[in-house]
Amino acid sequence: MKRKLPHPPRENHPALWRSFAELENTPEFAHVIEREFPGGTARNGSGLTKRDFVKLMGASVALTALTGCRRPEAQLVPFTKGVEWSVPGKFLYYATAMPIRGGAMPLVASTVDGRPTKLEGNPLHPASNGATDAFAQASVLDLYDPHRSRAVKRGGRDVLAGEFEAYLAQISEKRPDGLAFLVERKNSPTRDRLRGELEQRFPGLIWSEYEPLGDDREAVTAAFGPGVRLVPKFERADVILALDSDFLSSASEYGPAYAAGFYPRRNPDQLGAPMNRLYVVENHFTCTGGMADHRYRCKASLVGEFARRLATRIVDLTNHSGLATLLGAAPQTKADFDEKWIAECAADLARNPGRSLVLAGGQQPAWVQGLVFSINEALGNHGMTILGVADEAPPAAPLGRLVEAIRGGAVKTLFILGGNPAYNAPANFALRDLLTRVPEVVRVGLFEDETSAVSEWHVPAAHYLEAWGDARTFEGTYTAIQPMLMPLWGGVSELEVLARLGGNAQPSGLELVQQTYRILSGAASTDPKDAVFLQGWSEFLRNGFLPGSQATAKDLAFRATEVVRLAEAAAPVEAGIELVFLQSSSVDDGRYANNSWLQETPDFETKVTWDNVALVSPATAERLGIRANNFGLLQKVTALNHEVDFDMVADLITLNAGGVAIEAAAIVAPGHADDSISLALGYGRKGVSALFENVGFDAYPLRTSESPRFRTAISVSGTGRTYPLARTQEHKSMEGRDLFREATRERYKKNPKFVQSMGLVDAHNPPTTSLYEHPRLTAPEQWGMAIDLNTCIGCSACAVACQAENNVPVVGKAEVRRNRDMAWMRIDRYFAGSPENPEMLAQAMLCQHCENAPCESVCPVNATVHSEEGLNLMAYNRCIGTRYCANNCPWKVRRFNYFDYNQRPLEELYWGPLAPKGMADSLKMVKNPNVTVRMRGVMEKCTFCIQRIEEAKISRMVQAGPRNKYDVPVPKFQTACQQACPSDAIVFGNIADPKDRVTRLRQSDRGYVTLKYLNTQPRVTYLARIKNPNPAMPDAAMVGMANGPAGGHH
Amino acid sequence: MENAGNPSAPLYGVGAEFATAADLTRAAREIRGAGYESFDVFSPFPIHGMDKIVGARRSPLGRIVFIGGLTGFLTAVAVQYLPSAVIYPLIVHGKPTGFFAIPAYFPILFETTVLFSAFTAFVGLLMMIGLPRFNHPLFNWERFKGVSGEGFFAVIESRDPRFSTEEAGRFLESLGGSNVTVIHED
Amino acid sequence: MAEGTVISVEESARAAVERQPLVAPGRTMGWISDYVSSIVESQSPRWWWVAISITGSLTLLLLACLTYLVATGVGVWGNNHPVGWAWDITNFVFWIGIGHAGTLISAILFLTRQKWRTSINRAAEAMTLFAVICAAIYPTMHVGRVWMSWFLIPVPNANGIWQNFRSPLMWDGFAVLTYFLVSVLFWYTGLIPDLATLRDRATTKVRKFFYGILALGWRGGNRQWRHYEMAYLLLAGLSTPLVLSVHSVVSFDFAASVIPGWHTTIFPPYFVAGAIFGGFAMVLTILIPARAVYRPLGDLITVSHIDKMCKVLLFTGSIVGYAYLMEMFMAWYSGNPFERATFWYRVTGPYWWAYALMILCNVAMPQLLWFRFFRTHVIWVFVIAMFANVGMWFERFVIVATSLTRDFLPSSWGMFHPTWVDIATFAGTLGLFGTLFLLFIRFLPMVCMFEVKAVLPSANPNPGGKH
Repeated sequence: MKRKLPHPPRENHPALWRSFAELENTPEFAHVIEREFPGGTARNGSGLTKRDFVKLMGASVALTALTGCRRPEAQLVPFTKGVEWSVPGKFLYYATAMPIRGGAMPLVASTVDGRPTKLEGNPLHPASNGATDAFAQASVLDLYDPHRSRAVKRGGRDVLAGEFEAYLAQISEKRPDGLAFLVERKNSPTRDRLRGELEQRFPGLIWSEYEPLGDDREAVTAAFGPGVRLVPKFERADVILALDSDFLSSASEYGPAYAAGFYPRRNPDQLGAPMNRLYVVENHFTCTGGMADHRYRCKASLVGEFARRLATRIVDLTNHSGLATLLGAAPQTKADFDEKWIAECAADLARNPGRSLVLAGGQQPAWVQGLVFSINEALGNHGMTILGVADEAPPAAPLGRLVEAIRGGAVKTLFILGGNPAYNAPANFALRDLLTRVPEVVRVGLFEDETSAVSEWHVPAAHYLEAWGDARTFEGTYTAIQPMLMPLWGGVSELEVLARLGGNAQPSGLELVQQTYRILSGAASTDPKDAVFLQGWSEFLRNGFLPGSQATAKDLAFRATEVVRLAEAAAPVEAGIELVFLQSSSVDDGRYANNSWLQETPDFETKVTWDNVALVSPATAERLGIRANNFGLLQKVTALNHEVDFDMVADLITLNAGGVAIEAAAIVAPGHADDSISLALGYGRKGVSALFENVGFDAYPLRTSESPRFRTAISVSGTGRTYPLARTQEHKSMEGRDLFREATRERYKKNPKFVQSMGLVDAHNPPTTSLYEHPRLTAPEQWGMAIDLNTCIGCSACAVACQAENNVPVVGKAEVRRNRDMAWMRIDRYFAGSPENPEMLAQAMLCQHCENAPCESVCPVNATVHSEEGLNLMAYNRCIGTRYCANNCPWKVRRFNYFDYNQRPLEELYWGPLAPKGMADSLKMVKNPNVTVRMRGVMEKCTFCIQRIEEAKISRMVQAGPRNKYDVPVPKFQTACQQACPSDAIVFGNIADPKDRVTRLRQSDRGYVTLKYLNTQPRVTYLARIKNPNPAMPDAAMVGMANGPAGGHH
Repeated sequence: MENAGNPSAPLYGVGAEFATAADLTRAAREIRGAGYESFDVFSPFPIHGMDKIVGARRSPLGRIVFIGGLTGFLTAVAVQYLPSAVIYPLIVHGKPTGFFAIPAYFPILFETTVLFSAFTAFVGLLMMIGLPRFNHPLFNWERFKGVSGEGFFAVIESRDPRFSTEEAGRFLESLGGSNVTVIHED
Repeated sequence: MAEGTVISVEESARAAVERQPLVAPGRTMGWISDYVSSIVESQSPRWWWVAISITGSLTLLLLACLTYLVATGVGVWGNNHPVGWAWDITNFVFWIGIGHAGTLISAILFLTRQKWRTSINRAAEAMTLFAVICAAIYPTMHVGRVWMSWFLIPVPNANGIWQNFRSPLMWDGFAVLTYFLVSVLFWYTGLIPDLATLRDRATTKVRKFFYGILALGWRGGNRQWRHYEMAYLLLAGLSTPLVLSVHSVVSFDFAASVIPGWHTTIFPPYFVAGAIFGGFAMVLTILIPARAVYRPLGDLITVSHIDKMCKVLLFTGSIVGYAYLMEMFMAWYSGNPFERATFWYRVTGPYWWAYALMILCNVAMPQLLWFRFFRTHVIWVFVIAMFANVGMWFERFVIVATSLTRDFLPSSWGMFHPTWVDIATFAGTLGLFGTLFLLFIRFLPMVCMFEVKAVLPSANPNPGGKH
């Protein structure tokens, strides 16, 4: 079919078209559009019709990486004319940032034809190491989510957007009393500025911020006074103790650079700085706990008591009087701890004053955090491993104060900007009922959710990739949030709402941010004709941040008396079973519940997808009668080996506290604390979206404002019913196969080649030889990868990045249950040691690109062959789907499209041709155009991001021009997983280049390949994990023993 | 003597029926002994040793099948080796593409050889025995239908230089043949 | 006393020579033609209609399942990520194995001059063809993109990629296709004289025409017989290595891989023995009821035939049992822990029941055939043959599917669960097999008449003389 562009564009034709049907503008297509947008964008009166939307999509490519200058909309041109800087098929990159609770995650967005398809960390930014986390990777899918709300609603009916604008103007003008705001925590100077303006305009205004998760700042404010933030310096710490603190996976809180200093100190080979030592005390396995040199299982509610006992020891060792005073005030709870563990840990900390670091989870009670600050003070860590910086964000009222005001009838108009408080507010506030008592609730949100249901107004919000904004990162750098396209469905940004309320009739997000920028940068004006301003502003957008805008350092003046007051107010902890509320690794606090990429990303520990589960320790499970392996029999769980999860059904239990009961599916989690149950938040929502209907269990009803981390004195009973779970990995043990290899630092020093002596067959076989000569791979680039298990925390950022980069389909819970997940990159998780307190081993697993790949020889049609560069290629259009290659892959990394996952609704896969075909147009927009979207019946697998390799090779050819292209090196590039990795555990490069980092890593003493004896010559090298145990600790003998005490010699 | 077929049509030969395989064997030996060349004996099953008696040479089918098999073998070589090693060489499993790749080609070399041989055997058989042929003068002879049941027949054909209807009929009768019949071509 | 012994030895030797005539005494050539043809010529009995309506419905079910499969995706089966091949290839190997008895009886026993084969070879060969048809359905339909399976044919194409002749699947395709075509030729060649019989006996125009076409004008002259016998001998000679190669090649699908439990050099002979075992079991499964329905067939397919087949069953069953032991021994002796683990899981893992069933059906039950009693009582033979059928299916399931459930990386271990489509498709192939066999009974002679006649005493051209 010949593509005909309407030229000149006629009135009734869209200037840009996404499909031929649209181009032809047939009635049938109009019908399709009608079905596609049931809410009706064209009817919301914002003036943004779908036609505009496609125009605007094109418009956004006018943003350029070179000038960073966004053209005024008036000059936008349709795609039928060439858009400046836009080269078809080439990505344009823009700096932006994702707002997170602790500030912002600096990003670079790749856009193609005006639509962002992939987000990466911004390596230029001081608060980023170029990495991201899984949430940031997946947030681009939220942008295109067809379930996002599209229409302004008042009282449940669609109204024109103009009506809402008029409403805002009316409030702004009449200045009624009883105005209140409930917003998400952000660190946005523009928002703060607008808030300041509003507070002047509306004197009685209540500005409340609420986050269900994230750090509680109460303790910091108490201990160090207002306006201070703590910035831990992991790179300076030799000994780290994390008390219920998952600081390694806190990218969603502070950005990936927060803990970046930790990883270089894990390197046993680094000269100069010694390898650090990590102690972790926690109730359930976190990524941080998996990395720990010593991990202690402790109920979350007893972490305070644990800290108190530790502090007692530290007082003995340091004679610190302030800490001693605090200890007198701290509540005492009866608990049995391993006193030797505490004593030796305390001794280790005390031996390293000023070089140690004790961290408490931000959700622990304030007195516990205060106690930990006090311990750091006693250890002399403040100013050394913990710095203070000024926190410029003005304080906000806690949710409790807003609730009181509502109860008192003082709130007449409540703006809820973002968040979903009706769902996730503490249960004791009963906010959902309370909101009905507020006369006017205005809700701006991405989705029509629980809060929208109790609000008078629901206004679609703009995604952060659709609206101007700004933020300060955790250490204070002023960061730009640039939109990539105009709001797809007419959403409004928070800043625009605030500006309208402030009397600005036609607010422009761009101008609002420019004004803030002018103030912060000290520029004279925001006049676009002002060359100085323009220069600075362009650089700000291009780099994504304002250089030198970090918050000023502040001396940490520890206020012991305030902390004592906190401790005095605290009560001892009730005994019995506790319920611990976790941040979900998939949906955070519930905000990503509609994100199918994240829903299908297995939890790093349980490998459960599409659900949250109650985690119970083996002993507690046995006591409560929770079946371990769901085999229908109560199996002993004392052995990890030969343990089979057959059908992946879990027992449903009831958790009851204070007359409120919730149900949850329980599974046995090795390494979990006894008498403790952990349940992630954010699931179990009903009647909101088809995607997460009947997904998981809601823990919020048991969560109160007094203790956001845990609830004590829970009564647990079985229901006798079971619940199906979809897990991507059933087996827990490595079965002694030494796929993951580790040792202690001491043993590594003694025998640097220890990895070579491991592996069931590898270590004993004579070197494998071949009967014949292998074809020589002649290309100058030979691609390879090294994965450092010492720093891989198993966070899944790489897996989601891979999904985003490579258009990996989502298959849905039912298909995951049938073992048909499509992940090209997965994190294999094993446990080693006793089920009570094992080590957790996370191993990123992807196509090994074997030089002698067993998958290749079995393909009858040569659909998978080898490239000259050592890549194991996959030709989708040649594949007929015999699945033989997948069977013959020892790593089982090949994935088969059992259905047309991209074309059919996941719940109707079994309907075949009877199900509607095609995917939502907006979801097509998130696809990477450089990667084939695979059809059913073909095999797929990791390609080492061949599209990026080819792109780099093409740009080399462009550079070389008429010269021999091989004289020019291939420009630096990264694979998607490598780029996302917050801990720099994945290194990709040319192994034929002796100077390349990957080559050096491959030759490292720690380097090994899995299943070496098969002689497939994998191109993926793993670097063994080295643990740094304290020999005096009681559990020292169990550390670094994943390969058995003999270290692999079986 | 009875007639089979249209008496005005050209003569095909004279046939007689015998009771048992042993009778037929004896008759065949006699007919041959009498110097007849163009005659044939018909039986429901192949009679052991009859070839020697009637003086037939060994069937050349074996040699034809060998040629067929050789064709199959060479076809397989051409289809496998040339494209894989010469025209479209690819790196597969790090295995050699040249001469040392040959072990992998063995199964198909064998199968194709067998396939071609079998087809040659079948087609060669049909060609040699003049089939398919849906009509034949012998089918004009009603009693001849017994040949596939339990009938044994001998037919002396008219193209034999020594053939004479009367003599042949009498001769067959003298050998113990019954129902001696003159068979016409249609 | 010594003299008496000598006499009794002599007598028993003579008895051994004369005992168990291949055809019951008193059955003449005419009777054989009449009876065997009458099965085809008479009206279809009621049981036949009942049977074919059942098998026909199952065949329709097969068609429905395959349509659903192709229209929807391979996911309608239970195959999953560690288990890329499950019932599809299990059933393929099961059916192709069954086919082997037919060729073995018609070719190998022909070459070794085993005259007892004549009564059963026709039905066994037909069974071969039908089994191969059922088998061929699976590799054809199990691929993800059936409409692209022509990529397997070495013809020039736009992709600029040639087939990979290193792939055992390619070998497999050639082997199965060759096997099917050669079996068809062999079978049809054997049918020609008998088709002539039916032609000559035909009374209706339709039959005359139908069998007339099929018989190709066969006349039974010595000029035809001598070429015919040579062709038959050649085809038998070609089929013999072919039949041994086919299951060897099928076993390469597994043996040429790297997966523990698949990568085993014992597979080719072990698969061939298993195929003969399963094939003979299926021949018995079919012929025993046929004999019961068409009682006079008992005079052609005598207890002596069944006894001989039971001995083959016992022999191949024992080879299979030996192979099971050898697999275990080699896994242990190799010292390779992956191999050891795989075989240990077979016995003790989640699929232990499949392994136990396999041992019971294939190794334990056939041991009863050491006793003449079990070999000569058809009910018992039928029961044991049924066990063997079930056991051989489980053997393939154990090898194909359960090896995949647990291979190198414990992280990727996963179970297999069949879906209703898996079950219905298998039932459908049973139906197709039955339908084809019922049609065969009705339209073609079930026993090779001309060969049976040739082994009658009256067929001897030199009665009384030395043979």
